[in-house]
Amino acid sequence: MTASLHPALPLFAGAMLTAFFGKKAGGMVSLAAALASVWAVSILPGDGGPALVLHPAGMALDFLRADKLAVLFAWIFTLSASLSCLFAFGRQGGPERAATLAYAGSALGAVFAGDMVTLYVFWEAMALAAVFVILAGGAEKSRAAAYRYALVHLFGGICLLAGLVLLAAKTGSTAFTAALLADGGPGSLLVLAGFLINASAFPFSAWLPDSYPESSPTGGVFLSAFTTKTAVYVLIRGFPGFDALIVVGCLMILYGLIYALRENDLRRLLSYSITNQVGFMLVGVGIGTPEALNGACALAFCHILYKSLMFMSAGSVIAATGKRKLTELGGLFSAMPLTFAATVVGAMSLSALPGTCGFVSKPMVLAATAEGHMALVWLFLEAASAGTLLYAGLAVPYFVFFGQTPGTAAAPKKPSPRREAPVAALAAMGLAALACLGIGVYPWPLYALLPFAAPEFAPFSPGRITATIELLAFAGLFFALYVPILRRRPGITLDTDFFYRMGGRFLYRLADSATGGINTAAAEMAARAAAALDRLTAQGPQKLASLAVTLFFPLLGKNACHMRDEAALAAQTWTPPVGVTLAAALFGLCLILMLVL
Amino acid sequence: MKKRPSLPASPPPAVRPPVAPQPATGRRLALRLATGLCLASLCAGLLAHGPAHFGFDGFFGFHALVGFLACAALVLVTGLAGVLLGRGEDFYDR
Repeated sequence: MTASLHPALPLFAGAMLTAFFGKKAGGMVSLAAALASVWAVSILPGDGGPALVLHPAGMALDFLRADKLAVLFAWIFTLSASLSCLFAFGRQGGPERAATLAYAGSALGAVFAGDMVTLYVFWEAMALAAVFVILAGGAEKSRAAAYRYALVHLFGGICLLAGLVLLAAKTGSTAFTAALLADGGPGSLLVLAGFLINASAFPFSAWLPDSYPESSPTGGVFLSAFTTKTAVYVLIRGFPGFDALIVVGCLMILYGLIYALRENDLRRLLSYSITNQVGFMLVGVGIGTPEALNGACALAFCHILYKSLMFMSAGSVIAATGKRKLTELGGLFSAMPLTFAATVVGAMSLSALPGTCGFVSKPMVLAATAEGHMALVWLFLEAASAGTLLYAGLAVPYFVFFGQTPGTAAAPKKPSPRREAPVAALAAMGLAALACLGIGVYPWPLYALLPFAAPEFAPFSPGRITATIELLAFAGLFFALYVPILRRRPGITLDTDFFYRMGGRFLYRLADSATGGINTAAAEMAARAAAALDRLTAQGPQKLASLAVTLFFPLLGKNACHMRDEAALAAQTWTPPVGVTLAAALFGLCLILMLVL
Repeated sequence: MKKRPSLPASPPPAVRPPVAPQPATGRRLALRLATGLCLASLCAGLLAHGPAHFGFDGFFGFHALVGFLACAALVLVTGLAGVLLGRGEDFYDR
């Protein structure tokens, strides 16, 4: 029965096999596994019931809930995995290939999970695989970032597990449905916290720009697609219409805008952009109408495409130049024109320019806020759309491919070896760019996949197009006018990871000084005890002998002092006089006889 | 007049430095392009204004105003964030 083939299985099989091959053969295995998972999605029933349910220990573990919502995310996850494998073809080591496939497979497993236990298992597997993807970055910073990523996601996983246990204890069910999570009790709030941590919701957002940029240029493309969008998927399924998500989404949008506008590291900038765009999706989930949820789904679908494209182009630039800071990059247009074209398509899609996939998806969320009469939220999202063009839409193509840092003419940077990305990478970028543009001009196949019953969105009304172009044109004018103040500067902006990075150090120092103090005190005590023991063994017999003789002072007459000194000396040198020893022995025997008789 | 001995010619650089861009020209071009786009979008807005949802968004040039002012506000907030939260590159490595 091919209809019950879980789309994650080819990816897991590929993950087990690919590490045993060389770079190119392993790349072929990875690509074949990803394409096989696309095929497995294509043969799934569009809105089928559970097809793969196990019943261990009285629980129903539903591994394949293939409804329209899951299938939509499965499509984009498998397509994105295929494009990412093509991009990385021949450039990944075995461990990284295995980790990326396991990561994509776990994300798919989470998407198809029909119950909380299955979801939790794949959720943690996804976090674990992502840790190895980050580790494959190979640098010391990658190891530190992977460690912090693991800590944050371990915390999120514990929240999810605690919530799951509380919910199961309360309701007796582990089903993953919105109805079960709607009670607002501590169980569902803990589950929500677990989901929001993965969605990089502020203030649990710093893990994303902290970790993704430390992966390899190929690993970052995989990472950009799955974790946050899996979180969006579970929020759509578990918490549709949860009002607080609108506020959380707006905070994420603002946070992403501010930090991305200050960020100098190319992939950190794109990471902040992920949080910013996921904020739009969360606003849609919070509104909760079918139109808004469809908007969140469509935006998640398109966002994976254009953000993967931007991570691909950023990875290509970093791989070609070895540099990652905007202040160190610039003037790459002539060396990498195709990568530039891909970057522009990705950046314009991110900015929702008409003709790109962003334009047919992001306005769905804005339209839903307008229909919900949320004037302030609508105005905020409209303004944020202009800001998106400012921080990435124009900034990334300009500063990477044209921009020159001040003082460049006086002290030209040492020319770095620059070359266009490999053919496979260019092919992946080309396909992703085509998909962005194709959906942008013909979005109806995407709309047909949307899971919620709502009137079809009409993106191409003249008024909507002119309004968007007006908004973006004036944002572009602002960029052209104020580009000198928008130029990035070296340095970092403190984020919420400050608390656990510096807090961790503080705790370490505290623990170090506390345990060190105990250690020092114990050492001093031991030294004093040893000294006391030494004194006791050295002077004890001498004093004891003196004391014994002193007891008999009245009997000894005028020789008492002399005898006392002699006894002390004898005890010190262990040479007691024979007479005294015999007397003591006799006295002892008499004492024993007295006691016995 | 005594002819000064000519200095030995310096050898040509092995690698030609990259052609320095002309930022002033490029920026002027970008400004003209952006201004032209803005004017064109305003003209297009005269023909087909975007959907007015709330009343305050129905006047001519509303989206232009939002686009420009949002960017200005964002830059101001970002500048403030930079003052408060900006640190050196090696902050966590110290």
